[in-house]
Amino acid sequence: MSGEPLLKVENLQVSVAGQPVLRGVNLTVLRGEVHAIMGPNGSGKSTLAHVLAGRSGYQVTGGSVRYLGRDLLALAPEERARAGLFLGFQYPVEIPGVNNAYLLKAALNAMRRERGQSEIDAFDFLSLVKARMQTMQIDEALLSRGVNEGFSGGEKKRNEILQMLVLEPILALLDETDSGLDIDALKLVARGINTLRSPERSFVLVTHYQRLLDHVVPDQVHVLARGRVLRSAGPELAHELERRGYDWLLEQAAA
Amino acid sequence: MQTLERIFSEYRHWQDGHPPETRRHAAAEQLRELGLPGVRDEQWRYANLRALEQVQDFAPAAPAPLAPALPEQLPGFARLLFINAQPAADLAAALPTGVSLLPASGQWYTLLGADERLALLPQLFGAEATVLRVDGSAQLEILYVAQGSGASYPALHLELAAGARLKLIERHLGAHEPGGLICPHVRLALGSAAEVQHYRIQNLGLRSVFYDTLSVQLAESARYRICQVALGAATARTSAALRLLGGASALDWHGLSAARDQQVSDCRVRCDHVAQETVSTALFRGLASTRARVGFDGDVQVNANAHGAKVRQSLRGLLEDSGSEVNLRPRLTIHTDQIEASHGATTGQIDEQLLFYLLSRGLDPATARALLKSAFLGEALAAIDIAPLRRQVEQGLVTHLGDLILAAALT
Repeated sequence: MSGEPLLKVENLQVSVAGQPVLRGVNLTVLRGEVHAIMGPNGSGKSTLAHVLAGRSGYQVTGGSVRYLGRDLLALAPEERARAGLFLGFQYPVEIPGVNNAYLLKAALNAMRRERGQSEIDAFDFLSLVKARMQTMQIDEALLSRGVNEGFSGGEKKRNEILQMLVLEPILALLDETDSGLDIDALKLVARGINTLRSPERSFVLVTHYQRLLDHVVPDQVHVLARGRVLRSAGPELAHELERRGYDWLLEQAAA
Repeated sequence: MQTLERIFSEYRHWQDGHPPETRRHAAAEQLRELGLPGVRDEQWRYANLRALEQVQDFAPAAPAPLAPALPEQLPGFARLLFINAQPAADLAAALPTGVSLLPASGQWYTLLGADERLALLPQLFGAEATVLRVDGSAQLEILYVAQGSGASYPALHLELAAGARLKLIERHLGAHEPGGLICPHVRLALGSAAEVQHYRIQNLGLRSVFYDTLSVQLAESARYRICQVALGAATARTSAALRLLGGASALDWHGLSAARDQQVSDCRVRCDHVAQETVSTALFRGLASTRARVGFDGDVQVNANAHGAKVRQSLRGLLEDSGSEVNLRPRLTIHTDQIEASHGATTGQIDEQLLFYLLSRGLDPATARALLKSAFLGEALAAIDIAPLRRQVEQGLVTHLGDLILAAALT
């Protein structure tokens, strides 16, 4: 199956409150690939991730997105999730009163129903989650706490990756999951991603820094700036950006 | 005819068949002096006072046979049942160890503030209050069931001896005629180091009118923890006056009001910090849907002598549609500068960020909304630490609101 197109974004144009943010983004992700999207603040990286996940408040003014051969933009957010698309949030919300285990199980069962499977048995669910928590070095006590309630920044990010590990998406969009993490937490997040990496599954990593890419080596790196993909290349581009910043690319684009 | 005049007219007519009692005359005089609350009274701003005008009959309802199914009795709790405010059985025989029935005093209750003025109606029309004294430790459930037509005036006075412990469940149930009035007055006096956990569940039929007064006084180191849940009645109003008279006494108020279909549910909690090192916390969660109105007025007064007082308020409202209202008023008046205080009040619709988070995990919108609503209400329900009671209350909420997920799976 490796090599089959999974996501195809063509000339995507998006506005927020009437202001253009994405001005014609093109991106093709094949099965099994890891893509990194880098770029300066305000370039539209998070907007792209949220639009792909179906968040309201964005107006798609042009272009198309195909996912697994379907029109992604025509699907509701929950339909996208059940079709295997996962968004790891830059700022995961706290939901006091809804416990982690309940959400994880409800989400997993939503996926299973979509695939025509029966709901997971309580014992199997617990075994699965505990194993995944071990991978992410998350204290089991957090399972019975409210979703992200009182979690540290690092715990929230690890919890996002835990959800990803449990739900086993086909395409994971991770929006600055590495931001605010110390080096140990960063390695854990990278371990989570690498655990799930397979020829069937793809990742789009939105990141500011090259350091995550030391641990999760991407197939392609894209620079998104001013609402467009200015350059796409192999992992060496991330190192070049680390050395030279973004200005040279912006100048080239302007020229 | 003005409502007040109608009340006196009905009182005179009703009184003809009853022996004269000093307390009723005293209540009548005080009511005439204070008058009924009006829309311009700040303390009654969000109450539906029009419902008072529409009360069918202020004279007490006749005793009625028991009709509705009662909630399952909770293990370890002695149950006292009142139908239309009349005891359904011999009270003394039903009391648990540690609780005794005191003879009616024949005295009237002097109101401590205009907030309590509707408590004059039970004095005017009702039987004498049931007076219970608690020594030691006890668990008691009191059910007030309203039936048929006419008004019901439950009146309860609880005295807790020093160091006494009481878990008290107080429920108001019943399917009343439209405009049927239920007007309770519950008083508690906690002796030093006494502790009360009070669970008040109002789940009346949706045609009733409920004006409720709660008066609580706490002596030194006494602790009063209350969880009040208001679900039923077309109009529901609680006027609570709590006085932290003894040093280091503490109040912990958890309130939940869920109103739908033009219900008006309003609660005013006045708490006076009179002594030093007193603590009061108030958590309120109000949910309004389909043109309902919910109000909560948390009025905390810290007196000049109440050095070291601590006050916390967390009031939140959830609106299900644009035609509904939640009015929250955190108020704090401080006459000393040695206190710690914090308060917050927010009202809004379901948070779109939270909703999107759940949708992005594959939950359908109806489930996600129900989950968020349940979590919102769950913050107040967490104070109900009696598991079977909590299940009953959750079931009542599900019946009332329909789309909740109040499973044990929630925190």
